[in-house]
Amino acid sequence: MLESKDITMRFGKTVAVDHISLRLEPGHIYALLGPNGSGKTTWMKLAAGLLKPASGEMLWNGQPVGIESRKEIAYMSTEPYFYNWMTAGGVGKYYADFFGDYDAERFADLLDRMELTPELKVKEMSSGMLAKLKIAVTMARRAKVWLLDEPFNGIDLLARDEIARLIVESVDKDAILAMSSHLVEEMEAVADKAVFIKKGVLAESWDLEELRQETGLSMADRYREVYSRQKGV
Amino acid sequence: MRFDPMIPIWAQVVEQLQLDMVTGRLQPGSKMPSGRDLAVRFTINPNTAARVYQEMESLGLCEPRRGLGTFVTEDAGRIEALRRQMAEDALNRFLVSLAGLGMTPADAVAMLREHEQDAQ
Amino acid sequence: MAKLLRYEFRKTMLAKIIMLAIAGTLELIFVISLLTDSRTLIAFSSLMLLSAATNGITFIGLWSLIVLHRDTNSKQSYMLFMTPNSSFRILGAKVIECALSILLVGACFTALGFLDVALVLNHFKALDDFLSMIRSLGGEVAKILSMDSGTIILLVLSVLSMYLMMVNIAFFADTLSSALLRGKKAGFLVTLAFFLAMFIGMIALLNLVPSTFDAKEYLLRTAIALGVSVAAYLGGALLMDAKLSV
Repeated sequence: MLESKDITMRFGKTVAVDHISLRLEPGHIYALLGPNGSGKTTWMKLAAGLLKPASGEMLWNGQPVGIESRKEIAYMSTEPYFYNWMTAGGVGKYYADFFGDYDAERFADLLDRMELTPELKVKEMSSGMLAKLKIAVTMARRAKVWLLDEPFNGIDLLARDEIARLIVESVDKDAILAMSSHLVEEMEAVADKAVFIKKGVLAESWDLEELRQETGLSMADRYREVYSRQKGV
Repeated sequence: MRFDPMIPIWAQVVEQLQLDMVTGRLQPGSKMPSGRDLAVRFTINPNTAARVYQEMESLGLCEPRRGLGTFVTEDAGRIEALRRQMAEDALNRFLVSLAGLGMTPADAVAMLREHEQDAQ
Repeated sequence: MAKLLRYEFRKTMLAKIIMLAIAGTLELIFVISLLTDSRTLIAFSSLMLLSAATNGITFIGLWSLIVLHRDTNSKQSYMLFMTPNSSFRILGAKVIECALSILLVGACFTALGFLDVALVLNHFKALDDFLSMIRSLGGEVAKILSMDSGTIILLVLSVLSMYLMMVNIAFFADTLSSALLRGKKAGFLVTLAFFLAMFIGMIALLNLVPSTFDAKEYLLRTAIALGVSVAAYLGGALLMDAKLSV
């Protein structure tokens, strides 16, 4: 179980994450929603142990996240980050070197599904190809938690469908997957929980089928209600 | 399969599977995909897929066999009952649509007779 | 650690290739100058080789420093900090890479130097000239040659530990600059400014040790340099950890 307890993060004077208490449970796929700057990326980085909070705690199975939790929590950032002297295969090798839960065979399979080859050089790859490589290498880890920041960004339709299938395949009852995306509709059928973050605060969270059952709204509809600045929409 | 995101997805998948059973696309007694395979096939959340099977089992339309998986019921009567129910639902939807246009069931019968004659 | 080290060497590979190319070219010119016996070219290429040796070390060190800066300030920092490695390990691997690279390049140039001196001696068939040249370099060298091996070892150690100290304070300067500026553009200039300041301070500190040319002096220098190295390394790693902001 991944849990933040009253966690707060500040960048200078800006409060990016404001006392968020949120619990992510295994066996679920979470959609983290909110506009740019709402705090969802910061929350994920806190969960990945890439940022130190100003106050509050981020716990993985009861222990504060840190070096050990990085062995089980896989984070994928929005921006590309590979060393540009590497090849796609080299990136895989890097992950193999540092992550015990990395599955090389799975990576080979995922590269293929993403229509990439190991010989491709990072410095020659388009932004779409780099985005797909990021997904391939992150999901090749048999992690307990996957935190995917904008996994669908900059990727063509067919590859997005493939990624949705991949996400659904990967999450068994012991794993947690949380993703944030502006492509809300793409996540409707894949996610089963939705977390709405607004201005650094946890606005609301839903079991998606319950949201549909009780309100007749889709996740996208609810998103519009939560964030729309127009009154009475 | 395209889903309406405003309606519970499990219900839409159940409807699709029921249709497959009634049309014979899913034969009685045949093996159904595992929950995980169903999720991948439809690209839906695995918990949603589990809910689908839960529902289908409670409706008596499929049964789990220990160690082997989930199978479509062999009870032809059940499937026939399902077909009647789905036809009944379609009919009711039809009548409701017509009522919305200010037409009665009697108008419906007249329209149907005309339709039949045109077809011949 | 070994894995981190392997990647650090890969990141600095280009610097070594460049050094190899330059040294190789200059050596070739030097050999040609001996074969063609053109005195001016012999002198020129010898000076160039000497310059390459001294500046080369700086170049190698600077390259590693730039890699550190890039690795901690760009998005590429994810590569290091998403792995289950502590800041101590990450920084440690970088320090080891830089120190070993400097050692390697230094050793290569030293060996090359001995080779070239031998070649020159052979060319001029002038051993006596060489010895008188040595004598003319002054009393210091004679003093060094008259020391016992234990003292010479300590002398070498003090030189090596000074290089180690420079690497560590350079890396600490960069970590400090990155922590304060959080990756703003002028970052590397600030690093160099910090390094210069700290370097001057360390030289001043080391100059407090009296120049007695004995084992005691070299031992003291080694101890100070190693002490500063450890402090800078620990400080750098702790700072990296505390100000972690990827």
